[in-house]
Amino acid sequence: MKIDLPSITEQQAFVFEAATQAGVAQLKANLKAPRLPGQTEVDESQYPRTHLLTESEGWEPPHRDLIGAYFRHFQAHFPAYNTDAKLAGLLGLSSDRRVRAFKDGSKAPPYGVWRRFLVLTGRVPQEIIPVLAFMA
Amino acid sequence: MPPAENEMKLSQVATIRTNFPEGHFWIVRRGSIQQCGEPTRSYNPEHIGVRVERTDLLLPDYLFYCLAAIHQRGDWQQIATGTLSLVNIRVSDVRRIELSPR
Repeated sequence: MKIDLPSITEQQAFVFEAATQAGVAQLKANLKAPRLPGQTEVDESQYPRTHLLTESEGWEPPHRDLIGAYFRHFQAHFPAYNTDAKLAGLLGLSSDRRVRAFKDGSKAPPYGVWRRFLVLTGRVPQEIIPVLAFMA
Repeated sequence: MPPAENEMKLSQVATIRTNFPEGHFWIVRRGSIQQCGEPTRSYNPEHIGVRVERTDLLLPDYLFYCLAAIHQRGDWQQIATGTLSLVNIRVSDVRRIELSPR
């Protein structure tokens, strides 16, 4: 079994092409993700919706009731993430203590962590940044 | 045929083993004939972890996509051993993959 080993610059170009194709395929696959019933633990109309905005649109951290409700709802549907440690791994956090801190309201989740969760649960689309030029 | 003078084995530029959470990515070691040999970004101690040490020569992502192409071509099916429903590849099979500098 053999792999061609071109220069690093050529490898980067290859990766760019392959990663873009894989990204397009994943975005299309995302549209076919299963549809599950929404959470019913809290009445979301009683809370601000600013946590669904982007930072430039005026994002604010979600209320802790929403965090707990969203996380528990997610964990009930996905047994692979049914512990706070597993959920921490999915969200790129170093420990389950941070997940618990978000749930109990002692810490607000950073924008990137919350946005990732919203994308994973189909609540917001992911941002695709346009490439202006290849400048490396 | 003996390898060309500048050819290298993958093991010369990467650490390759199972039970390897520090890997850049992992290769399915054991599974169906379709799954076996597939590179994945999800860690599993049973999978073969690959961590590129010489990133000045080989980009981990480049290797990932090359291994994905190898898997899609069905090359591992010639090497995998086992029963019809469950086959496996060896860590040594991955270590001996040849790299051909251009």
